[in-house]
Amino acid sequence: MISVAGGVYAERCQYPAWNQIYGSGLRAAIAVSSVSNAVRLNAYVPREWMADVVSTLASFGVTGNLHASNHPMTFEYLHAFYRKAPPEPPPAPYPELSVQDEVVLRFGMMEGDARVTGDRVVYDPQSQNASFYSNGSTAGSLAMIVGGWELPGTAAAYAKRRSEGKPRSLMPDEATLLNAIIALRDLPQRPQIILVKDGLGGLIVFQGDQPVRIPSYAAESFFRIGSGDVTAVAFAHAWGELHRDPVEAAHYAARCTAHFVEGPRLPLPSAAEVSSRKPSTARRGEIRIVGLGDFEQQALVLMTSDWLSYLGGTVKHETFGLDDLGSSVHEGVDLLLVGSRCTELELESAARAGLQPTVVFWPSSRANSSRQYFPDAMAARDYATALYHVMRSPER
Amino acid sequence: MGGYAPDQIKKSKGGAAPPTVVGDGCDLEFQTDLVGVQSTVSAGLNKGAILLVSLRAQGHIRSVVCETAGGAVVGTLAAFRGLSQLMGCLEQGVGYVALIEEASFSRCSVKVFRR
Repeated sequence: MISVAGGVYAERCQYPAWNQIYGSGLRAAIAVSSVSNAVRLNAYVPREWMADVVSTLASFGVTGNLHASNHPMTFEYLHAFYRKAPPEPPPAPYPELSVQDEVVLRFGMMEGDARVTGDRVVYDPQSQNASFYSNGSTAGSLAMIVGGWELPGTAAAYAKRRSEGKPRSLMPDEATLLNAIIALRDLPQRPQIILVKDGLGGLIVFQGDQPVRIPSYAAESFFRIGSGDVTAVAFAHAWGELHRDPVEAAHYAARCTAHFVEGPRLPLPSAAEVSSRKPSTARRGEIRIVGLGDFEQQALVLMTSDWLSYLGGTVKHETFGLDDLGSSVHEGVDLLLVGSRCTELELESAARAGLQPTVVFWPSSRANSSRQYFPDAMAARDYATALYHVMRSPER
Repeated sequence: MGGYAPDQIKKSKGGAAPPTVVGDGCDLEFQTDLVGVQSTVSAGLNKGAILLVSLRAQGHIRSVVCETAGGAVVGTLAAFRGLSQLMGCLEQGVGYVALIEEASFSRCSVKVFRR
């Protein structure tokens, strides 16, 4: 039995098209329904969505402790990495939810909070500087799962980066990360396990003296929205319900994340189903980008450079069009960005010029036809998938 | 395939927006992604193919699934505005079909409308 406390929100993405009701709570509850013998979702649910959420839970055998709210919220995305401004929270928080179970997964929520009590509890605050214990929550054993900048103690370093005009980054530098972990573990009430998500499906597990790095596992495509929820609930199931070792549970969570992002695919696969999934290798070295197309494509090249830097890459060359392509750059081009209005003739010209990129992003229904010109490249119609494949490649 | 959709129904995208409803309240139309996609079945499907929409009950689980003409379940319709209404209409005997907009081993997006 596992209880999930978490939000139920609408999610809308333009590329790829996505328009569903999930949020961390509903997604995690549906996810774990395939592997847990009993799941309960504790959540605030907007009145106008209540019947549909109840029907959704019933479709997966999940029970609900649902509290009606009057504040539907939608998270909007341009693509799976780019979330637009978050919705406005309610003017005043709703009364706290109270959750008690052997195993509890608690997410931070927009409407209010959950006070939880459990033997094994996983806490994903989804915000900076949130404290598990401050609302009276208790846990026999606590695992905290966070993004790098969500760790308490990173806020000052984050503010300093911003004030110095440094580019955004998905993860803090190593020193900031370790200092934040040490500070967290020095607290009188501290989590026994800390998992830091790397944003591309991998994790760092802090339990004993040495951090353990869990690689991201290879996925064909990358639908990032909600992937962290899946990581959290897969870990909660394996560590909380099955009492697996934290590192083993984290490997399962990372494999489940790779399974999810290929769709998105819910619910969770069993450990046996994902046991053969191979780790991926993180990108090292400089990245070379070439853009084929008009003005908007040049803007996309610059934006892509920023995104890859955010994901931890180092972009060395940005080239607009074949005329600008120096012969030295022909070899080792990592990403070719092709405009949606480009023709196959232009791709053929690029191939004739000797371009053999690792990844081709072409948001066209003809994207797969790029393989005839670049047979060794990964062809992606989806932007987030293209970025993912630049940053991670399957281990050979 | 457009012949299945009554002309007076405006296109809606499903999800968080309520489905467009006219007439007897069961002229629903929406786009959504299937949950619990069966990889082996979905991988063999093509854009434009039609699936049947039906109610399934298994123990305490009651769901709406999309299945091929051969009876193979592709996935479950869930997590969108209008699901409970769709279930109610199916219980009244109203028939629906799902037009595949995109299908692969890992994802199946459909547009559902009244038969």
